[in-house]
Amino acid sequence: MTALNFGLYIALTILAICMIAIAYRMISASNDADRSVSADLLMFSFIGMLAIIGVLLAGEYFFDLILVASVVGFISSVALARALTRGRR
Amino acid sequence: MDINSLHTVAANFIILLGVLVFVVAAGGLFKFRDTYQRISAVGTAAGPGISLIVIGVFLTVPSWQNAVQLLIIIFLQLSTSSIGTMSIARSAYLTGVKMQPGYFDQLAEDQAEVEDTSDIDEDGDIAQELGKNRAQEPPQY
Repeated sequence: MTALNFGLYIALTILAICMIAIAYRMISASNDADRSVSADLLMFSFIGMLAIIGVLLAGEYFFDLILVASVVGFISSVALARALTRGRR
Repeated sequence: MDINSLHTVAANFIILLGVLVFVVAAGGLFKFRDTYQRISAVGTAAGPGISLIVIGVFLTVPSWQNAVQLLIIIFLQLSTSSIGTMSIARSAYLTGVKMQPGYFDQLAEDQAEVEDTSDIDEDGDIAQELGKNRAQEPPQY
């Protein structure tokens, strides 16, 4: 079973490197909108990482966690868009 | 190779495919020159990436309860991720972020004068010029 889950560890490693690169992009961006876009992608890749970790830990309710996290991710991106215009709609 | 290990191998393959979508989106964040191009990369990748990863996760632990939740997650993700990203794009346009080649701006056709784009750097560093150009006329929210 552990030999068959080898792809999950590879996916987790690639996703972690990808998140580090996105965080570096978020720090080094020259623009507030670029930072918002990077934070949006960072939130989505965190949801993907949550799903993979949930498989590896074999928890019982992690599908509920992914469901809640996807809804919260939508709210976070809308809040980022609101903060980009400084509260004006 | 029995049916269970076949499930697991297929699940790992689909999860790796979803991670590849995220890698391509992160590459787009570095490679594209413009905020709107980056928004396009992220908004396209977020829905299918999460959907592929969650489908792979479902194939490792298949059950009826997880199938219902899988359908809810995929529906919510595909319908809301594009809305969130497009709201960020709308805010970016409202705060005066410029397109990098910037030949045509059809949303600003009502404004009388076409803005000059000759003072933008080669490497996409346009943040300081943006604030200066928008400071003369406040944006219409």
